Amino acid sequence: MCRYRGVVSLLLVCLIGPLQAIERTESREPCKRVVPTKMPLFGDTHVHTRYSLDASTQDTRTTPRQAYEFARGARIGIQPWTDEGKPLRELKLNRPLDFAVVTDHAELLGEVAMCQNPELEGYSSWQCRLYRRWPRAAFFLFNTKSSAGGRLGLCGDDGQHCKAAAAGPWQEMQQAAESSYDRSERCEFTSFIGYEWTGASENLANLHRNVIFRNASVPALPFSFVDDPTARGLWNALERDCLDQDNGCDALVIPHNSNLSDGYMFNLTDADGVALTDADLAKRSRLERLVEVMQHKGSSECFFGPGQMEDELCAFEQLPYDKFSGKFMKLTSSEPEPNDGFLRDVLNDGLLLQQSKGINPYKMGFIASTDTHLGAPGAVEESNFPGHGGAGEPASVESTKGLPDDLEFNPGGLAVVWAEENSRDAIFEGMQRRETYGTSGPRMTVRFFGGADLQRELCVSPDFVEQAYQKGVPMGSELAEMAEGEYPRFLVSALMDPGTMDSPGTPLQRIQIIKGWVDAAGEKHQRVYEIAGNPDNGATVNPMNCRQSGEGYKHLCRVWSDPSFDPSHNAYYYARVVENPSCRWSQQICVANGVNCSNPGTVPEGLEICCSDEHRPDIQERAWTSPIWYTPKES
Amino acid sequence: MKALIRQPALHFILIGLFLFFYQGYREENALREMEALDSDTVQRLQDDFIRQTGRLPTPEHMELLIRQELDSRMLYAEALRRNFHRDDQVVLQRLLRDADFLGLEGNDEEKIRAAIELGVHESDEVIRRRMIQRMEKHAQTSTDAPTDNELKKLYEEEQARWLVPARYTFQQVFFSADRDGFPEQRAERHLTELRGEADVTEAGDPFLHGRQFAARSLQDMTYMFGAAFSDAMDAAGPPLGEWFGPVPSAYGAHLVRVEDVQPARQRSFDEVKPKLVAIWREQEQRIQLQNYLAELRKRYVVVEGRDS
Repeated sequence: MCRYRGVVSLLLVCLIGPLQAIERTESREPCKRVVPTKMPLFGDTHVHTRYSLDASTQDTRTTPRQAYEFARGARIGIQPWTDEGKPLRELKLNRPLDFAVVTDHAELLGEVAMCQNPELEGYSSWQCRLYRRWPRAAFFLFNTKSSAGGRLGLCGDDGQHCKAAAAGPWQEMQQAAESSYDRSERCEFTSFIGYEWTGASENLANLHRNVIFRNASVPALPFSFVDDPTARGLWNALERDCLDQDNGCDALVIPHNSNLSDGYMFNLTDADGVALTDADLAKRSRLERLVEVMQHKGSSECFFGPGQMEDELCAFEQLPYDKFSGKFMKLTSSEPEPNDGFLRDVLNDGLLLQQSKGINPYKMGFIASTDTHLGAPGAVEESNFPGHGGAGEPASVESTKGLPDDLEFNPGGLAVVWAEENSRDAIFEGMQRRETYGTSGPRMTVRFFGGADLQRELCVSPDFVEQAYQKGVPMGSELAEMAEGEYPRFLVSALMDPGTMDSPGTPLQRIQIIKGWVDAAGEKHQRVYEIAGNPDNGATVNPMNCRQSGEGYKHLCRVWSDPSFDPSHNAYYYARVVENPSCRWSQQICVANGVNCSNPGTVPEGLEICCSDEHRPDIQERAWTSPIWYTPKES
Repeated sequence: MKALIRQPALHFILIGLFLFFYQGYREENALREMEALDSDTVQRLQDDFIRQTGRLPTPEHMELLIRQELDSRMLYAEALRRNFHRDDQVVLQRLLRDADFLGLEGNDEEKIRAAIELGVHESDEVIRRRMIQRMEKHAQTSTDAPTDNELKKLYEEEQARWLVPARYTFQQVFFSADRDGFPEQRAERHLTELRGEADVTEAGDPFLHGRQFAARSLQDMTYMFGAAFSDAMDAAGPPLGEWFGPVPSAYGAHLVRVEDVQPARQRSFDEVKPKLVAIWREQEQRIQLQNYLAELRKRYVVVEGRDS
């Protein structure tokens, strides 16, 4: 049958084999636009609206419904507001998203976050001062006591009164997701119901996780950090209230900002000091299929600093502290360290566990997102950074009073999912099989496959995607077992972001493959391979005017095999696609205000930071694919 | 019956009731005092504005920011009058936690009472926000349903929003600009070969997004191929079922054959009615809150604070 190459649909069926059908868990019109070889859908899985206290105290009024509409291309107003409730400023995406998830704090009042964020009014309240001065003591009172007592006597026997108080916003969040979801055959936009579980460890390290539900079957209430301060408490609750309900409910948990976790996010001991059992780890790997590699509060990909200076690209958007409390109290945190929870290292820890316990709880694919507290999903452009939670207008020449946000923050990134169609089931399954990648904002398209049979000629075959699916596995998968003498090959193909009329995309500079592995002695290793493009292509950006120069690539493709493959080592491989240098958001504001650091007279008040040592004027935007794992055959 | 009317006890009760309600009425309508903002607060409002917008606030902006701050204080004061801090479950929970922070002893009720005596509810920002939220909800109690006429007006106002753009189903063959400098020339050479062929799988360079595209709008094309491509498609008004090109893109040149076009159309009123209702309700709630605040402002006088 595969001889009849004239008929494209047949051809696809022949080459890919019978496609794994999407499991339908909801009723909706079938999509008109279906791509069996999948298409990249761009989204944001981390969005706060007025229901998050830390957003609403900054006068963010965006409702969940408006946040979803914003993702679809609608204009929203942002603070400050007139008496009539009209915004003085507005924000609009120049490219809508394909999907979005509003993830307001399940605690609904966001109190846990409050004492950690100096931008909030309550930050200087006596409770927060106590919290910060004696974090251990306060934590003990704050969590252990109130959680040990359950939801306390006055809430009713099993807390029903207090829970009823929280149910209102949760209902509204669900309705908002429903009203924005395109259930028509056009399949233009997908919304998911979700929330953020805002946990912290005893020493205030960040353990935050986003929870995303597959469809409209969701638990009666979000399960919050108040309900249980341990991560396994969250997994257990999701298993009990969702997965085991037999009503179509399914969920994913996405940890974020492990760069601020001081190593606690991925630890075999839970926040209450109890060791995680193998059963806990199994639940973790069932639920935590993805991890946020980058967002407003920095990149978590890899550590750059003493001892690990070879990979300079790791310095990209690295925060200068390892816990958020370090922002306001230097003593409570330290400079970032290699074992703080950077994902390259965490993935290796997963391999170690695979080797010792036969289970890898850290088998996570990558996505990036924003963590916007303006209810503005997908507003990721460097030229238009409205700030993490406080601000919201394109930086303009008028901005003479400093940056719209703290120097170390950034506009965040996007989550990209390979899916057959734009529907909840298709995207959720894409996330579940980790066929995802994250970008630091631009919309490059990246394919990544692994397999022993991937031929060098694939890069010049028009039907290379079909062939790659047939002969290999896509990003996020496990390599198929290899015969004696075989070794894995990897296909990476990337298209630059075409940009828009107003802001053309930046050409690609190179593709790298990062390999992590553990040897027989249990030593962790990592290595970066340059596989396509040219790191020395001479492309630069002029910090004086942000003009880019030098050649780059519109498209890069390569089939690569690992020269140091050892079939007895557990390993992972992921691709990093890097653009030519461009101006960071902060530098764009410095330039717009005429700052010239060699002439102090040009530096206006408030922008001295433009010329400080910690300011990095240029960046290289990038995409990170989910890894492909290799596990040795059991001998 | 007459005997009953003459009962002094009844008179007593009636007078008592009258005094009770009159007192309540007077209290409800009496002017309430509110302290003016101190200079630190005004400075903070100004600093926040500058940080958020990157501009200095105009005098009108400042006036607005101050009024909003006063409004939220007014709402908080109203919430206190209604004793929300004693019956709202979220506030009570929070008070209990605060009591634990302070190491206050006793059962839940005692702890809450002690915390309120200490004025914890006035200094805790979470409680303050919650009480203001409750007042906002309180002001937005109307459950009126919109009339069809009101919804139709909204529908008319935002015509452009209900437009479903035209969608094209097409095939393309790609000629990469990275391969040589002349993708257009290669495309033109192939155009002659392609004409008349229903389907092609061998020609051109591999393209990451594939060959076949179903139901894509011009905007979709911009995001996938760049603006040059969608502009050219729009300008060409491509003929159905025929190869044409070269069409330029961010990556090179393309030959395109459109197989189907779904024309643009306006979504009907009935189709978008649920959305219109949601928009209407949001507007309505905003108006209700504004009306409530306007009424409230009449009852409050701002007096100079201690620091001035």
